[in-house]
Amino acid sequence: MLEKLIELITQYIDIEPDEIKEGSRFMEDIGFNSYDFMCMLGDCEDAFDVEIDEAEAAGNKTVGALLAYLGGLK
Amino acid sequence: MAEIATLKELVYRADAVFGDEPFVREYLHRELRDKSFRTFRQDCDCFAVWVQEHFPNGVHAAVIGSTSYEYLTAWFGIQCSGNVTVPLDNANPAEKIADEVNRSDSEIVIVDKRHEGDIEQFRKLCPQVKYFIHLHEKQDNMLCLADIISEYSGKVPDSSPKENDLAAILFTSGTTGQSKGVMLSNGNLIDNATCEPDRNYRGQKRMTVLPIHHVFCFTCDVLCALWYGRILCVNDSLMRIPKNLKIFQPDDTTFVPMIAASILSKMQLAAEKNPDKIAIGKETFGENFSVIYTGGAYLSPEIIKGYEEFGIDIAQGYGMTECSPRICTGVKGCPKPSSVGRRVPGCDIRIVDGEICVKSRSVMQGYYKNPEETAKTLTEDGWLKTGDLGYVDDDGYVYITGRKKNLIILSNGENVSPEEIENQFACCKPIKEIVVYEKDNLITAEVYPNPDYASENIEAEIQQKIDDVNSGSPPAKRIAKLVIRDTEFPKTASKKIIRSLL
Repeated sequence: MLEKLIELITQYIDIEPDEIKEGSRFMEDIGFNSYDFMCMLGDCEDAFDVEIDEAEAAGNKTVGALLAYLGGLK
Repeated sequence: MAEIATLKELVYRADAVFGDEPFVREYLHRELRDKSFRTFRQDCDCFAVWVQEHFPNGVHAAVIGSTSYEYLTAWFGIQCSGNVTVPLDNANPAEKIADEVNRSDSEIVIVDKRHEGDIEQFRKLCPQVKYFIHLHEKQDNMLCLADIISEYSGKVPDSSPKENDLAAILFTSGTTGQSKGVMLSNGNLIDNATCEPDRNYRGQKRMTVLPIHHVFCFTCDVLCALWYGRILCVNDSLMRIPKNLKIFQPDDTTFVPMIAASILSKMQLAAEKNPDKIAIGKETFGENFSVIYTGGAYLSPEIIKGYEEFGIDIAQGYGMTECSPRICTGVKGCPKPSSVGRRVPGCDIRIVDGEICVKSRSVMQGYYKNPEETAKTLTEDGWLKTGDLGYVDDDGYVYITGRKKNLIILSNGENVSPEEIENQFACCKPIKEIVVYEKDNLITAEVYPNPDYASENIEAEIQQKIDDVNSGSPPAKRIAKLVIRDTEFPKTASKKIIRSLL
């Protein structure tokens, strides 16, 4: 799952995949703005075949937290 | 000139002309759902009869939700009953919504999932409200729109609203002070939706993205879809814009510039791996796509040019809630990309002391229960003072240079428009956001650096860019001081920076 999420992230942010860790924060460390982060969540719906609640998902501030949230939807 | 004068007539005309053709298209639980113009008119009628029965002497009804078929049914059902709709910002906290419910004298409150948990708080804060209605679900503590429509199935209201009757009170989000309730009549909204020459839009798809309480979205997306017979494709969440563009394959859409800029950045990133920019444009926006319309904030010519490289047209317009909202519309391939287009038909523009003033049938009736602010904004002979500074060129194109209230007046008497300076940094990669203001009689630029921009010394690069801009500017318009901040600027729900908080 981590690899797939990293691939999605690199479609938005010009960042080397190995710089992205589970503890990386989307805004502060990776450099997302709020709108791009929302769009990336939308991509997660297709990539992981889940239906995301916008308000719940946006509360996940790190890569690891989002992975746990997505895992819980499966 | 339209052959109709009210929103009720607009709904009835759409049924008569377009009938079973699709009006609202939604992607719900991974399936497309269409509702026709005819079904829409029928459902509006059902709700209208309920409203008339429960409020025979008239009512104001607040609607709070994101765009959906049910939201529109409530909005127009109130119109078909000859009453007043008060669309409120769904993103506001309960206390602010309650305040606007009270100040608009609303006696019905209609909500969706986002505020369903606030009903008991609304009951305490808004004692005049007699009915609470949920747009989508049955709840123990309120009515459900679907139940009302089912109960009143087949009934037809006997209302006959008039052109000059108040149709809606819309609160301007306002970057300073308390929000004001803009009163728009049936005639105001109909004039703005129908003022352009007939276009062959029937059956074309408009994807609606912006918040529905905003009149730019309401008039340009919803009213125009009813007028032209277009399919309104509902983007249900900001996070699904890219996906919904693929699902709906729209012909056009409306964005605020921030969304347009973000999507452009993503396409530019993709172009580093795939040089076929036209293919990327089609992959992102779909095969049918023709043009993005923007408004609400400044769109830099660099963004227009950036989109051109991907085969996408982007046209900038200009308006304000007080004018229902359109004053100018951009066109595809506008020859003057730094303009906001030309005035819409029927709208007169004059410049008074640098301020754009507007007179048209779209201009509001005034601010609800606020004669002082109305008198400041509307002249006795009906001109709307927009508060925007600008000019009209010899070919009729309108240019905005800034907001009158933001004008910096230095102690040497020089007047400086901060937006005019800020716009010169619109495509400066190290800068994410910039606000220019006066402090200690110095023109100061406060900057939030771009977190995506990889640089060892971003601050020095920003200073260098400021020096470059300064060298091409007259002395009075040069930035004297740079302040770097580490968070984004505070913004309104429509993503405008709140200058008064700086």
